[in-house]
Amino acid sequence: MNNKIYIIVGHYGSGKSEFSVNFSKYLLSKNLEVCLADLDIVNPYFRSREVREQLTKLGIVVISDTLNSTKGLDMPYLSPAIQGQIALSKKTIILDCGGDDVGIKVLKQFYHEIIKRDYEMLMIINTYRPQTSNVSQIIAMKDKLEAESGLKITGYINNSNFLRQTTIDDVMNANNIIIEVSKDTNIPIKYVSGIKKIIENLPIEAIGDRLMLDLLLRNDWL
Amino acid sequence: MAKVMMKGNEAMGLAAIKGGCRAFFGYPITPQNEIPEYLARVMPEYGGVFLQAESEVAAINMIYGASGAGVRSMTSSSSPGIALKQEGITYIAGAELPCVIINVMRGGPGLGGIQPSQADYKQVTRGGGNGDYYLLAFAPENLQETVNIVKEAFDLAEIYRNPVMIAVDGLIGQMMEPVDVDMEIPKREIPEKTWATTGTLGKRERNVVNSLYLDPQALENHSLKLKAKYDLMREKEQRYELVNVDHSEIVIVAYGTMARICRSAMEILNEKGINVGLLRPISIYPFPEKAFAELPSTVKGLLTCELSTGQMIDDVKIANNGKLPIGFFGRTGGMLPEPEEIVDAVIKMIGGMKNE
Repeated sequence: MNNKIYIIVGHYGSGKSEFSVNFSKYLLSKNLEVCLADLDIVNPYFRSREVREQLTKLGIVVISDTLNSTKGLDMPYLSPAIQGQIALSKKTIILDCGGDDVGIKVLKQFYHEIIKRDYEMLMIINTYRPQTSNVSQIIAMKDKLEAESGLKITGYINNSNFLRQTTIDDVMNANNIIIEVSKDTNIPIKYVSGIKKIIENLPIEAIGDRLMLDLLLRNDWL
Repeated sequence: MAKVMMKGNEAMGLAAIKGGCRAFFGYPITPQNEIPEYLARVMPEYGGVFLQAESEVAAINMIYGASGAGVRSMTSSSSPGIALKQEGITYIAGAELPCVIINVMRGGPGLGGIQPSQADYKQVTRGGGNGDYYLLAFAPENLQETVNIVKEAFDLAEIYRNPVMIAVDGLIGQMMEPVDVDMEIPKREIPEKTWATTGTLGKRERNVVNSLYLDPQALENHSLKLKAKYDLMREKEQRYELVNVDHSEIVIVAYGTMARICRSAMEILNEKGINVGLLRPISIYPFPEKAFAELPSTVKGLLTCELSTGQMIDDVKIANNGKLPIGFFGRTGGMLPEPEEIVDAVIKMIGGMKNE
């Protein structure tokens, strides 16, 4: 049986790559075979391919371009191996997309293969980003993402944060907004993600499975 | 507006609008593309003009025009693109027009790479184009400071009638950080733009925007007038931060992202019982020479750290005036050091000083 495809989409800077690299490690810990495909051809910095070596050592297959780059490559193309993984492999696949509707244009080429498999398209939300700060903005972003990809969002991820300055209140205020979004769109909140001090202290009212994030893409000094 | 999470490039775009910018002209280049992308969407909401020019050269000359008409205008680019703009920049400085230029620096020379760099320091601080001129230039280290300086830059450009450059490395353009774009900036008296070509309405003499002075005496007079402005900047606009310099043995001199890495190195060193401070230039023209006079007598050496093979070190030598030994640590080409590399450089420098 094929395993799931998780398509991680959302606004620029909402935390797609940081979530994806951590999520790949989480799925690996559930004894799944994991492939992480970095589809971001919009941004040249802070992409999941930067931790290729670290994840590969753990046994995660990381694919982006044919040169297996980590940093510095600013070329808008993807490795054909991504198509191969989606169509032929039985691995659990994470598609880490670029930001906004622009960033998921590249998904279209995989559309016919994706719909043959069990997939989840998860929209990651940081309500402290100025363009996804309230219910109507978030729903407008969701509509754009669905229209561009031709795929339906199946769940939300509350990744609202101010990096290391995040407080529990910040996450809970976001929780309230995303609950409204969830009700209005009839789509569940699947995950709530954050750094250790947040996840360990989240009250029960925070909706979604907890996913603890190590900031793998952000240096300790940054 | 409360704090929001923004990407450096977006935050600079919004800060420009908050600073009164109503005309942006630019041409795409990584890693600053989010500035024009953001302003293309947002500038029309504020009634301003966004135009993607056919080249960097065209963009900077559009700035000359818009700024000559008295509009707060900005362009942005990254290192090779800024190199292309130099002709326009010296014309703007010569014609005494205010404008703001953002340089999100990447590795060079030539086309270089797309990762963060500080290798444009000399180009930024020595003029860059032909003639006796300087840019007022700032090199902030985090997004809040960057936003505040971009907003202030529009005031400063008009006060001095001179281009202001904000030089950040690619990481500051690309990283996310919490920022309050409405934080208050100092209120300054802004002179009226009596020089702007806004139409005479038949009521005044024509204003002429020009950098051509064929009479050498007139050009010398003009250059001396410009020099007086640069002297005033050196007196009034030096900005810097001194961190933990009291009782310190070594002071690291670093700006921008490199300063952030050095802060971590400093913490590691202080835990080891080695007293290290940080002198962080915020203005790079004028270079904060005044900061060096404030260093206590415990300081036995300076370590200049840069994302280049060594450019600011010349300014450090001038400011130091032969007083203290000066070491250097640099990474370049887009490589960022780990704090431990700077720790090692400091320890090595102390060892070397003891052997002398």
